[in-house]
Amino acid sequence: MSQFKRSDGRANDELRPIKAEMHVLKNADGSAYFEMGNTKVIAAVYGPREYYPKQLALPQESMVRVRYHMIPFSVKERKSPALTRREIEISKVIKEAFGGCIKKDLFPRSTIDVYIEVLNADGSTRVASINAVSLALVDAGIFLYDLVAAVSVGKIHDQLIVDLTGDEDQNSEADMPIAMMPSLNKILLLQMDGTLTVEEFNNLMKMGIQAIKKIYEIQKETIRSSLESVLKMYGQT
Amino acid sequence: MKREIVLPSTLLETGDDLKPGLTTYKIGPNIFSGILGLYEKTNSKEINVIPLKGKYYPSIGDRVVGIVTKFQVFSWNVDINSFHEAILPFSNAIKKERQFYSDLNKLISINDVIYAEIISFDRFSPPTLSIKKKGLGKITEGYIYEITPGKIPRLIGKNQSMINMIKQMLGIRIIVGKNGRVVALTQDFNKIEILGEVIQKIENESHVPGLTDRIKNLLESKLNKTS
Amino acid sequence: MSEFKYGVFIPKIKQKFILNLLNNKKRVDNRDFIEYRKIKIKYGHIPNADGCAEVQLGNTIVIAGVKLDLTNPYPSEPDRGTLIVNAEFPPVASPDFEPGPPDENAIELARIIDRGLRKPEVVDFKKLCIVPGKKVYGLWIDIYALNHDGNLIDAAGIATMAALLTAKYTKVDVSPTGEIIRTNERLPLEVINFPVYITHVKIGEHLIIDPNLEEEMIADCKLTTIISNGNLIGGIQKSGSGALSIEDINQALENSLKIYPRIKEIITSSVK
Repeated sequence: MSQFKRSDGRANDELRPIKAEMHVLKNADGSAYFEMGNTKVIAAVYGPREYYPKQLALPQESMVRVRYHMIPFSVKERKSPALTRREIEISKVIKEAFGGCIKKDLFPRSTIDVYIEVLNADGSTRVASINAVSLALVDAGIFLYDLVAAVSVGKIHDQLIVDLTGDEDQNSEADMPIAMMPSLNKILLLQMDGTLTVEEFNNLMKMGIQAIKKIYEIQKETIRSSLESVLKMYGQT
Repeated sequence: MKREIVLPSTLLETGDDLKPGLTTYKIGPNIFSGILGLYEKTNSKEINVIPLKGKYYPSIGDRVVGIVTKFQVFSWNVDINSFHEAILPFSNAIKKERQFYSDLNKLISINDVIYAEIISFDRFSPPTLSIKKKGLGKITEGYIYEITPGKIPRLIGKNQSMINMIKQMLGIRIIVGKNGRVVALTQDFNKIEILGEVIQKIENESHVPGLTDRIKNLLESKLNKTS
Repeated sequence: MSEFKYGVFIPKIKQKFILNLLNNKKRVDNRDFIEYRKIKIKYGHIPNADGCAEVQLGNTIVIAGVKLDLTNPYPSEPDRGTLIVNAEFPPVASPDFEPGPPDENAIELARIIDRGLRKPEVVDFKKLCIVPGKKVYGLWIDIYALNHDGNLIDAAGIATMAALLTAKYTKVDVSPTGEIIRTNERLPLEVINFPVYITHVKIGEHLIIDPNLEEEMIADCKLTTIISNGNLIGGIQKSGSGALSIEDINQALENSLKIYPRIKEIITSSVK
């Protein structure tokens, strides 16, 4: 095959370095920081809490609201702080992803509010956000059927790749973010921008699911290590 | 009994006769955790996990520490660290029958702290409180702490052993709300600080066995320093 | 019927407790009346920003980002770069903050920070001119609160200065035909003045510095002083509906002048 090299030297199916931390903000009910390469996001969760106005609350279950927002200096050209159409669409798909993962009938007439701020954007911001939100929901003690892990896959110069940077996204023939609940094998977010053959799509799904399983392990490890550091202190592991 | 840290989707038990609780769910014969918590095998048919995070889930009969947020026509709204605000109806707030209060605001007003009992609750309606019984009512001075509600049983201890030890060693009265709010009824700043450290330690280490001894050591060292 | 806002409550017994402590010359976290909480500064971690700094002041966390872009000068100042300071209090920082455009508190904070940067000038804006009357550098400062535990203003001030001190921008050349060419050279912003923002609150008859959230919420009013270069008052803002005496204001100014070198030292040593 051709001498294809990704600009950061990664293999086609290699993830960027990931850093994750839970409970990074004190006021929110739950919070998490998630980094995939240079994409850095912070997520905060409030709830379940009262929904106002009370008469518009859902009678049988909790509402889920998501606000995905990029800070003006998170992108190469300064972005105005106002919500763009892109941010509104991403907020919607993230909200719908978590709608399938949170057990909402425990708290009728309440709301679970998720706020995401992208601190630095280098591609795959919505999947990094989803990975952060999963941890933030656990930090808030909210009932989830499973964690949601997400990754972007795509095609560039006819090569199928995983975890697109900003440049790769810009120059790709297709980019496809995927989010799923890995233990339950359920896909909660799927979008594709570009063109793919059916075979390419199937291969990308396979690559994506493999990468998601790796991210899932990192998420679980992040949750456990936040408790295990204390166990280690007392020689209890 | 060994307690295991579990996450959402951790498999806990398998059995057709087992039932899920508020913290677990069932698929086929398998029961999975829905939260981050501690799981201990018991003989119960309803499988539950002890939550390490999250707000208070009301239960009838629980005594809670609430903060009054709103004043309505015949009731007060009270924040109890849950997913709904609770209601304290005027009729549940008067101690003496046939007493007439010309200014309800003097009785209880916004930002007051009350120790109340939950007398009714279902998921679809806000919990209703009462302060009629002895020992309940407005708390007029002291210091409030917050701890994850799931850790209150740890703070209380088996047969109240932990909380009694703390009360005795510090020599102060402490009100423990099941909703994760604790009030120290004292103005002694030093003791308030020490209790704060104790509560923080329980918050951080409730999942580590041997906590009672560690709390005892902490209290001993802090009290020795100041005597 | 006003709708309830999610919020932070200060129960009455807590208010009483804080006031009691103050009457005994103590604060809840054992600080002196003129003592700042622990300050931690992280910088340079947002690659897309030209400069950035994240400050922890106790539990308050504020991040500031600097970006320079090419823009048109103001008609009244054709040979100077422009400055715009923007601040937001996003919901991540507190249940009290609603999503949406900045409210009056965020706008006030942005304008206070701006005041300290404009007079005396924090950078030589004439040096940010590229083609007089046509193209200049626009200096954008965006301030985001990430966790509100009181005194967002001072934290924002520290973050802004740390971000400016570590900022680098792309040098441009002007061709003989007036075309603007980006080079690969990155220049540091030359910071020529050093404002420090110092906030006091008045609770009862007590004047205390660097209030945490609870102190700020029960305060009668707030006074922010901007000290520039150690001995100049670069700005003053009283906020809140309580009243201050002349003695209070003089005391606050005296405290601020005394504290200035310490805060400046913390910032400069963190960004070396």
